[in-house]
Amino acid sequence: MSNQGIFDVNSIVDLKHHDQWSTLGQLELIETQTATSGSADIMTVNFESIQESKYNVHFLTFSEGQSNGYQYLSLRFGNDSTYTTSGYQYARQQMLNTTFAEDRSTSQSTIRIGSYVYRGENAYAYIYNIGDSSKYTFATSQMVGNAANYVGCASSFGSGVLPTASSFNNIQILRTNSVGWYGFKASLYGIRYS
Amino acid sequence: MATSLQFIKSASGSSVSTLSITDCFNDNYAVYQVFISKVDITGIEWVEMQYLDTSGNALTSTVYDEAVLEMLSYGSFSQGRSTSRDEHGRLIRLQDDSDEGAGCLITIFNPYTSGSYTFAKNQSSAHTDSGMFASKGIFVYRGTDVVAGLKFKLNSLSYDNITVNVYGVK
Repeated sequence: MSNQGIFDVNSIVDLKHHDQWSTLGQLELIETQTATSGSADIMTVNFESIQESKYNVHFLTFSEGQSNGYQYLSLRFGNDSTYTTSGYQYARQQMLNTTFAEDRSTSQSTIRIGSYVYRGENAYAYIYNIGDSSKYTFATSQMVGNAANYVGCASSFGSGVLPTASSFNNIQILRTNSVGWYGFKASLYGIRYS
Repeated sequence: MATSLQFIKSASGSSVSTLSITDCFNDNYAVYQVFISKVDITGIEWVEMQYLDTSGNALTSTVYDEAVLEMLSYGSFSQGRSTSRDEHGRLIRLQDDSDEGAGCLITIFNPYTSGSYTFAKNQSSAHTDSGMFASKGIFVYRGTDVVAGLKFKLNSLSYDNITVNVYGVK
């Protein structure tokens, strides 16, 4: 629905009726990145305009991840394209069609948010306080995918922290082995007034 | 473009033993998301939650049940289970002597529906002196009252700071 930039009461009612009237507190898309089948192996997905001063909570989605090598979907935080590579902590509950297991670390180069899979990776994560220099940066996540080559299921949920009172302006999704993705869709959202 | 997460209310407090968010639930939404990221205490305790009625009074009947997986970065996971409490007692395990904050999302189902139980789930990430203390919990309030608000409390300590944001899922 079009308008002239001037909103009278009737325009607002009409825009609301068409679900086009912006209100406070929305889940707001910051950026989407995709790779389609056939692309070269991609090792990292970097979000480097995350509007960290506007949003205190970010929502990250990753879907349709396709690769040729097993690895954990992981997160890093950074500033100006330089990513922190140590000091992360996480704890995750893994659920596979064959077994359940705990996974935890107090000293890692990433926060793991996925299971050890290579096809059918789908995950989401909430990231808290990334732009607040007085707070630690926390994450909570959940993932589901194929346990093997389109066979079985693997899932996990967990949390992580970079226990440093610092602000960051970059978020990186990565695989920590040498085999990247040839397909994925990743989106970063900000939760307004969070 | 309007999206499905709609801001309802925010509440903050400093040096308070409880924080109430009255009238944050209504019949416009069946599902709510509650975010807590700015929260600090001095000491170590669980963040606890009670529901409020339409007059802002805490619902204190012993009909709060919960099951929580406690996920530690520094040790084995454990389970926290309770029935017939007068609050949900394991939302975030905090030990914040230097204002680190936390990350927690609570999703609440059917609070404003009279005659239905109120269900919730949450996932948290926080930090203690030993390392990260995270949790994943499921909760049910077996009262059939209309639940209109939230009250966050601690067992014996006070919050240095706490901010809670409530959104409706349209």
